[in-house]
Amino acid sequence: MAIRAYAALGVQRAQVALTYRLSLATGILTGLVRILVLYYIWRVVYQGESVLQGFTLQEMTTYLFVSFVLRNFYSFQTETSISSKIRDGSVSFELIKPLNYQMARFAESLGSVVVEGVLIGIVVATVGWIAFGMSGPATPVAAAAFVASLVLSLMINFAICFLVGLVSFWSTSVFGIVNSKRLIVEFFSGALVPLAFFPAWLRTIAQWLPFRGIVSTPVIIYLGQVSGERMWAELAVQAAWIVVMWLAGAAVWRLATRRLEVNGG
Amino acid sequence: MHHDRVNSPLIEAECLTKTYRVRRSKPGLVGALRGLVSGADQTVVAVEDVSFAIGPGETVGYIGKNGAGKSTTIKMLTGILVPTSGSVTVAGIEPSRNRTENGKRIGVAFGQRTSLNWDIPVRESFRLLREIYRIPVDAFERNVQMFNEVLGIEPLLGTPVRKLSLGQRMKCDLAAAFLHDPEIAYLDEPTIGLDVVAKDAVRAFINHVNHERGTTVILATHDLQDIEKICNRAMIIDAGHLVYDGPLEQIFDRHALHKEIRFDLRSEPSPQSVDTITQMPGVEPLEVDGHLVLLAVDPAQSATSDVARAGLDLLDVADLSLSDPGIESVVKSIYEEKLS
Amino acid sequence: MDRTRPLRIYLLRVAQNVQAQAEYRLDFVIGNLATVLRQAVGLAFVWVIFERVGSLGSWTLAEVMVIYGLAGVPLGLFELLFNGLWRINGMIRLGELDRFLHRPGGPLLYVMTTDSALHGVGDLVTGLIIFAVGAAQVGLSWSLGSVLFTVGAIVCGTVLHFSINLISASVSFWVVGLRSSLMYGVHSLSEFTKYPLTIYANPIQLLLTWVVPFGFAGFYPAAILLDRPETTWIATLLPLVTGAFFAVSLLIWRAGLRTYESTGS
Repeated sequence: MAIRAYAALGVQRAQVALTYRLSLATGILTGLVRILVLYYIWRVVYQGESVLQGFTLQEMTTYLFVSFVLRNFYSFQTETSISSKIRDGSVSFELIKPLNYQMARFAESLGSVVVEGVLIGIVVATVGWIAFGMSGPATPVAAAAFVASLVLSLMINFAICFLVGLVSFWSTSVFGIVNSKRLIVEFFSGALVPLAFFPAWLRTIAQWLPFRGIVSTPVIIYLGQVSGERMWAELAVQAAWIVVMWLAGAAVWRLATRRLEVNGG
Repeated sequence: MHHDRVNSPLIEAECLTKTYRVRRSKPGLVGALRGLVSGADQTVVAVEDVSFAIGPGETVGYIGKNGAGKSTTIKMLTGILVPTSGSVTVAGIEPSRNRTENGKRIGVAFGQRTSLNWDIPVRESFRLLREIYRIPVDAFERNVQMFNEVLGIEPLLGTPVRKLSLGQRMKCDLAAAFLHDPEIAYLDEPTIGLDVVAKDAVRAFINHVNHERGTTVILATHDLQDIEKICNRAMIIDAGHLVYDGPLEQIFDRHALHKEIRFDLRSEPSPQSVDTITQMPGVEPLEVDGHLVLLAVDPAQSATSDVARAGLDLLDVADLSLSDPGIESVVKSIYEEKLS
Repeated sequence: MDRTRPLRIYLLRVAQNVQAQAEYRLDFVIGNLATVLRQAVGLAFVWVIFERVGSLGSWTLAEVMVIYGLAGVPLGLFELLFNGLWRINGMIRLGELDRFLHRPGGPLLYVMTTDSALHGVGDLVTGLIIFAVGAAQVGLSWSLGSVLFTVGAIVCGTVLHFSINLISASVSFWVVGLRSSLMYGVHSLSEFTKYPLTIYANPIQLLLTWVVPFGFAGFYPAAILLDRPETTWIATLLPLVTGAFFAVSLLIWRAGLRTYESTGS
């Protein structure tokens, strides 16, 4: 029953996350500000146009809020905790436990991410609903598929964060890399601008990257812009990326551990 | 026991070597910036060609100065680091390749940092460990009870680690290492920074677990008293090489009976003054260097007070201290014995 | 203690940080590559919109580049010179400020030089390039006055980043359990002052002008250079706002220190 061990790890992280109430509150506040700013940029853009690239202003607003909720199922700690544990040497304790390192980190990140994501998501979605005219899922099927897509998005997110976090086995100054990776992922996931707005060549690149599975795929399912066969295809693509990135993570980890230097002699 | 030890070693290390590549650039800021653009890598040897075999139930002291390679060896034994060359086998498996399997059998306490969660009560960390190691409830309760009795940690269980003192934290870390009844315990500097009372409690605890449970204990330390109180075998590592591997008694019998006197000086001494002192019977210079005179004194031949008085008379002493022998003198005398 | 001593301590510590990091060649390259990419992405976001819409409100792409580039330079300078501020939260939480409390020059000097992020070079250089390209496209004419003004604006911008970050870091003296989320959240608002402030609704403009004045660190000086009449009068307040926030940040820091010392660690 190894699953109990991983579950226990996740639960403990969740408990710790809940104690950081202030962290959550500031996360909500700054998140709202960011949505607002994007909203205003789009409102200026929509002056004189009612539909752009298949989105009405209301759909765009919904897009912004739902994508924000999605991006909050993501903890900043995931990449940086790997790096800080290496820097202070406590990674040693993780390496001697009878647990799969990747799986254990996933369980931990799930623990904090679910707490933060659900809490922040509820508050922000409520604000969006009441004050900005955010709409609900297009159809009941869309709603169910959205939930599935959200779970898959969580896993892709982790797999990417894990890979980036592993860089700290080679060098501990990962802050610059992490920050930049977040923005690149943000851009290509469709969180800043829906992929439909990209020029054709950029959109092609985005289609072949795993990042769109983090935001774009779940949101367009929510909005009902893909349905039926195409919807199942999108879900399958998300799942395929998870497998690829997870295996890549395991492989890089094996390389990383051979290369590890821990202080103290 | 001897028979067992030779025929079925629990831990086997063969020609263990660990090297690192480090970029060495010229000194100063400009040199460092230049090093960004060009510069050669150098190889630093942390551990070289270390081989040994340890049987079940042994208590081994792994001794060395800071930087000698103790922690690096321990990390290779536990699978945290992968050897550059050579091999290590623990209960038949390679620790770095079978982490899950190896992890079940070992417990670890590293003195400098805690393995427990900083923010939550100790009890909660123990509960998590129970799940991770799948400890049956009765074994868990029995161990916690034992920790309370021998280490006295009951009042600490409800406190988050960040509020504990160093000694209290160390006791909890030790308990955590033994919670799942590991076959082998690796302890790296478990008494560092502790006061005398705490040190005694820790040493008593380790002995208790070794005697009652037969846990094999590998203790890495530069504190000779730790070794004295706990171990029956000593391995000494110096500059990455194993220079001694054998029963404890031999070290103390042959190398450690003398006391050390340290004179920190305000001005450099005259060679005649130094010679007068070092020519006293049983006095041996360990280090004479500018403003430092470090001597080993065999109390059977000269009273330490006499040597101290001579130093105070003849040298311009800023500070004086007496101590039991440290690692440096033991290693030095081992080298000398090997050469003679 | 003579007046130049704090400056010499500062320079020495920064030099040591740079020296320590220069040992890691790979870090330096990756860190800077990452920041260049990050800047590029921020610009790509705007560019994608411009491809569809042609202008952002009343601002052309070249004008937006001037703003965007100018906003990046103080950020890069801050990362190079004062990045230690990010560590304040952790130092307060773990009681690590103690060792700086009685050193000559005051603890702030040491705290701010705990880290110097070499990847700030990437921000600095990319910002300058984007600024220069935008300025050329707009046909900006350079006189001694405008050059001096630009340099002054960059200096003020850096001081503003310093002051704002110091204030949000100092909150940790009184509020436990914040981690670095507040600092990060407040700092993330600066992303949006890389775009023309006038497109946002009034409350946001007020926020980014008077409460968290990142607007003065890039947008307003750029608006002066671009001769935009609607914002010029605010822009002339630049030195005033900079000085005020700098003074306030030091006051808050000192008050926080007193609280820290009185609780005894």
